[in-house]
Amino acid sequence: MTASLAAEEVTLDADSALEQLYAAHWRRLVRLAVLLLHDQGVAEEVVQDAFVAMHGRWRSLRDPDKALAYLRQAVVNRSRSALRHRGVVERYVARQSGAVPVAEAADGSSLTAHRRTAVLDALRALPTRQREVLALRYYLELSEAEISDALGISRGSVKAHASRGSAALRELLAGHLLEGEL
Amino acid sequence: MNDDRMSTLLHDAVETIEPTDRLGAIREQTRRPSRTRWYVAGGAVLAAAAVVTGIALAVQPSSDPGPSPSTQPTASDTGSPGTHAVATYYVGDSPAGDRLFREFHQTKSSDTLASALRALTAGPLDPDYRTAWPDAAFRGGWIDYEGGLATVLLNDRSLHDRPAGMTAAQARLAIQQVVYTVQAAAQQRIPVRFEVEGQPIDQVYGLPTSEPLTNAPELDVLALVSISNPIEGRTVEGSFSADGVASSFEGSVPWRLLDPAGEVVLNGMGQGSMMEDHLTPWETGPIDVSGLPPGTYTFAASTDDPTGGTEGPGPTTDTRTVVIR
Repeated sequence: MTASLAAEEVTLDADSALEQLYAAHWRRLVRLAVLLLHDQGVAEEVVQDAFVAMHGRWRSLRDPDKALAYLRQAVVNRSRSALRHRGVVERYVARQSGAVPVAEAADGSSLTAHRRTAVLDALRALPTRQREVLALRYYLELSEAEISDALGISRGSVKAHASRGSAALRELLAGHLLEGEL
Repeated sequence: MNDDRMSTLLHDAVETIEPTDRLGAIREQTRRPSRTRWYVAGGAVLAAAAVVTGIALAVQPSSDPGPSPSTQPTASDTGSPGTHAVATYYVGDSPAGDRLFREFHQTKSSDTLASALRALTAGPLDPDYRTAWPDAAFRGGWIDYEGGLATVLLNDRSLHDRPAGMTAAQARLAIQQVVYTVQAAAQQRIPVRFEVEGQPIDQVYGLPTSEPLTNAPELDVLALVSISNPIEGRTVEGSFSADGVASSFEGSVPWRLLDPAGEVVLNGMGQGSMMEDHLTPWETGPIDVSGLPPGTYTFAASTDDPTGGTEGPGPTTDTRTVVIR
């Protein structure tokens, strides 16, 4: 039984792996990218491209766990380069259009919606590394070792970015959180 | 703020985000390639639009210790918001033989590398140029800034050997076409590696590619003058200005405007600077065409040849079709 299962895993082809990983992780990875990018459209593109790249590399990944680690890393790297490449024009557009509209529209509670927007805005104001570490640690709930692998930085740096990022986020959100929530 | 609280905040921030279903689009992109794939998948639609060149380097996040941006020029567009220009290099004729000319394309995709590679295989807007890569050459690519390496995925091993009729020099220029295009997308002189199905490929077009490839010196592979603006087929009214990059004597770029019959109706001198080892920007300033009858004209920019052709291979010329209304 074990042998046949193992055999099955080995023969999992790129298309099937893609479908399984998509079903299990598409939404979560898009949400991760929204935390990193603050823009759902670009987030979806970035994650879509990551899945396409993963499919192209399936032969060397072969294992769904490795593929997921690769996807995470690709989403973080591509989000970073999307931010870089968005450049002046899109920064301008972002300023004009304000926050992520979908977060505001989808919820009736304006207090909650405001807080969502405030959190995304605050994340956006952080240095890239701090934002990445916070998103991987508190949204994907990865361990320090996993974050260190995904970002290619030392565990000490992960710790430092996490603590600096938390402090900065707390400060940025001070006006938006209720007493006692800090 | 404790860890639980932070976790709740971040989860709450995105819990209402419901992504659209893109499995179909992803499958489309990972299927065996076809020409249309590049154009329908992922909303990455390439369209020609007016571009204004300038040194518009992307801002590097301050926390990022990565390499500083090179002087690789990029274009920023004056067209619709949310699009940006990607530079693609194509093969064209010059007095020194085949050289690479740069052409800008507009894309809405956030993935400038994928867009540039799509443009590279789809071919140039300018009919004087050509591409050395077939339709289905690339599956995609990515840039690893931290690792300092760009990867271009070939669709299969069909480009491993040099096709009959392609010389080694043509193969070298084909490789450089990709290297320069990828580096423009990366905005860095980053080395480029070719992969097939996740594995580096040992040769492409019969040339060794096991080691990451670097760009050949600009003056060895680039045409000594390239026009960025106007783009091919641009309609102008009243006046227009032209710019591009060149390596020309004293930074001078003589230009001519030819009427539909091929007669020179206007000419002048664009100005830039002169560097020993790379191309630098030039521009003409406004060219008044209000007195000219409407029609299809040709704008030609050349390198300056103070010897009048008695020494060296003579001037390099790039041309664009301009429609005057």
